[in-house]
Amino acid sequence: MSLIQILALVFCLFALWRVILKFRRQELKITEFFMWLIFWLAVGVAFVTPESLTRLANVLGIGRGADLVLYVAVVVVFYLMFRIFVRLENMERNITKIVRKDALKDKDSQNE
Amino acid sequence: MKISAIVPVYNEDQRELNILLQELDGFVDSVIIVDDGSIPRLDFKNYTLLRHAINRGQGAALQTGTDFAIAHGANIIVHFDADCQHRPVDIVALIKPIQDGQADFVFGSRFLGEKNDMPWSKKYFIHPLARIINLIFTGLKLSDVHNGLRAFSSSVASRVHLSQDRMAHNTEYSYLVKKNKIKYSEVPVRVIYHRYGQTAIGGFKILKELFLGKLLK
Repeated sequence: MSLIQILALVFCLFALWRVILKFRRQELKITEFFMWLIFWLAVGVAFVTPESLTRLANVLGIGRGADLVLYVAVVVVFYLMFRIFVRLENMERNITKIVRKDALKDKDSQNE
Repeated sequence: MKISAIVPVYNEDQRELNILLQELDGFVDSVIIVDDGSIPRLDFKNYTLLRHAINRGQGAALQTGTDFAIAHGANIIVHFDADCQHRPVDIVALIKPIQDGQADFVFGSRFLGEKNDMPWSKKYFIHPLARIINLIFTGLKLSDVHNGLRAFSSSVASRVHLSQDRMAHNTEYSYLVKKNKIKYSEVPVRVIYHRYGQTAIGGFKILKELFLGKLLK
């Protein structure tokens, strides 16, 4: 086992421990818990047996396992960016609503 | 009919503005100023002043003023820019179609009627492009899509509620008018160019806002 595999494995175990801890503290919902559990297990498996990843990549028509990871990562990052964009815009609109309410209330209290 | 003018202001020159407001006051029943978080605070003793605690953009300020006007019995709402590029005298023609019952929403247009001293790059490049973009986004064919001088009846105010906080309010209004099948018309107004105003970069910012807005609908 190479050094990177050992480091990755240690990190995956650490991440799994955090996931379980958060689930026990009821900070994660059951669906989120399973999602993260599967994710970190998959990462661990991919690092320990890289050929399994390559096989999966080949099934999808991609040459190398590392390429598959990269493609998936890019798609996920773009999707997250889009979600952040939308959330930010919603937040901006909510701020405006509060500022507006405040401005109108201020004026009405002056008039009374 | 009670006519209220909404004037959004942000770090405006107070003296210049006072002259404009005095003139404006002669054409409407009430002037509502919305200070969009100016620093230092602006002070207007003789007019209704609403204040946004932080800067939220022109569209947001217009909507705040409109909400206030409706709540205080306005029948016709006029939006008026604070940078002295509109003439208060144009309000007479602007609100006439509403008073006559011919329209519920009136857009001011600098391309109808007498000539304006518009910079050539705006006339031949920015505005034609803006018209096309507006048509694509809203389906409404207007001669002047980026004119902040407009009037509408309080009866349609709830149907033209702005959600775009910044500069895309012109496009959003044309979109809402088209979508809600509101009776509209265009009236020639004059625009006086003291400054260049909205640049091409500003136009791209508006486009960005529109795309984001579409995503959120």
